[in-house]
Amino acid sequence: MKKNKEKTTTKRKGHYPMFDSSKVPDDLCPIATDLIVMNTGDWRSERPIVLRSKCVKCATCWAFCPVQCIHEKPSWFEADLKRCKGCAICVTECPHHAIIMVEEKE
Amino acid sequence: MPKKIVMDGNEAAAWGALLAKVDSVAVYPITPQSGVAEAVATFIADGELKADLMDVEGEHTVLSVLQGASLAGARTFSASCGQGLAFMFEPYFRSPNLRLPIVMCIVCRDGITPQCVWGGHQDAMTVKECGWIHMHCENNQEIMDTVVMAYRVAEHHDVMLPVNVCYDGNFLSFAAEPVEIVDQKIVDKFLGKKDVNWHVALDPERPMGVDPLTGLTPVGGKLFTRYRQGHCKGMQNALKVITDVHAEWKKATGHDFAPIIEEYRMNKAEYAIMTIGSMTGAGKDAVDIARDQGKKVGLIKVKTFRPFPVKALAKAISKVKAVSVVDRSVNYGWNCGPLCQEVFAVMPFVDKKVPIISHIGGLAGTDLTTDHMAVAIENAAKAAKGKVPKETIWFT
Repeated sequence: MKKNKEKTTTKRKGHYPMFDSSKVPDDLCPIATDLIVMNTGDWRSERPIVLRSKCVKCATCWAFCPVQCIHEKPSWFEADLKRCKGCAICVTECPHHAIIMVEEKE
Repeated sequence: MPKKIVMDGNEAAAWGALLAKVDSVAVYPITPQSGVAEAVATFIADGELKADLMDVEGEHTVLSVLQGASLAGARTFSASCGQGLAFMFEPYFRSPNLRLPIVMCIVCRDGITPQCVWGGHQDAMTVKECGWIHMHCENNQEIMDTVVMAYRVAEHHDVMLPVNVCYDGNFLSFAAEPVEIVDQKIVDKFLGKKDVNWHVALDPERPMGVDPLTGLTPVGGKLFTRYRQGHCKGMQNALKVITDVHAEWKKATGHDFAPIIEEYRMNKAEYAIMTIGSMTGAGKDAVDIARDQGKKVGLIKVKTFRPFPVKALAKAISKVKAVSVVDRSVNYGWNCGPLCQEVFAVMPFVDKKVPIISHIGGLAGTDLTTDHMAVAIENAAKAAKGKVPKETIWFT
């Protein structure tokens, strides 16, 4: 067991490797040993665009965003598109109508 | 000389768990199973059994915590019945698909309503399609031995399925009879090293996703089907494993129990009765009496009900001209007993036409006596001569 620990620490920076399921029959038990990261931004159909000329940096969008993906920029706020799921709450809440939704083409 | 002590069926089940050195026990008391909870708690309080006894708020949690314990590598034990089993249903049909080798006794109780807390096979027969192995016991010695053997079967790498050791509520749970305690060293050697979570685990050193979302898409659907096929394969493997384990147990202890089905006085029998569970005792007595009167009757006892012993039964049935099946529960959809319905499904595998007559009796804790069995024998005799009763016969 100790040997195993040493081996794994070097491999994955302190984490243990995923379970090696090659010796378990593939029809035995539902387990997953491949991790697929899924971000909340992966299922977005529309993205928010901040019109920088209208934005006064009041932070209303930052306060209302349910996934807290709004990041501060020098004179405006912007959504992190990895996490933004396109709910458009920021568009509704922005008092200066500085955010619009644009359809995702891909 | 091994020690023999008097105990009831519930204590015998607890003794089986004690001998198997289980690590985690969760039980929620319900009549007629409560004695199991009491006996296990006593063993733990007395320091005889070094196990965690988890006091939980209901049967749903009983099986849920045992799933967790099993995933963490513990040998687990529980017991339930009737309404408790009904409340347990959600984790009950998840455990076998996770291939967790949990052993749980079903102290068979009739279903309600009408209100009833007494014996009957309705609970076990209702959950027979969930993917657990079901083994029905005839006496207290068989209960103790089967609980120990159940761990060998459940933890076998070709099986990896939970096992229900079923025995009649009231008739076995509260009936005291001498039971031989097998030497601990023999059991330790018999069970070998525990290896419970080699295939699926909650273990920080072997990270894995347990039970991920599977299905819907073509790929996911194929995967789902593959697990189902694997489960069915494990069930069929169990038939051989159960046979082997019983043979090994006989070698180690001298206790001889039929693993799948038992054929009693089937030599030159012209007709037979078929029984399951504790009623087999009355059945065997009735067969002995009938044989003394010169009637050529035998008895087929079903021990392993899931996986269903299709081949073994087909072989046994083909030896006779008629079979009376006696059930202690009801199959509502077929207007016959559940065992009888399964026997109907065996008939295409029998090379001749054998009339099967359904008998239902012993419901809600009533007794099935040698007189009842004599009626079943008589009906089989009539059917063998061509007078087949058309309807199910109810013993009231």
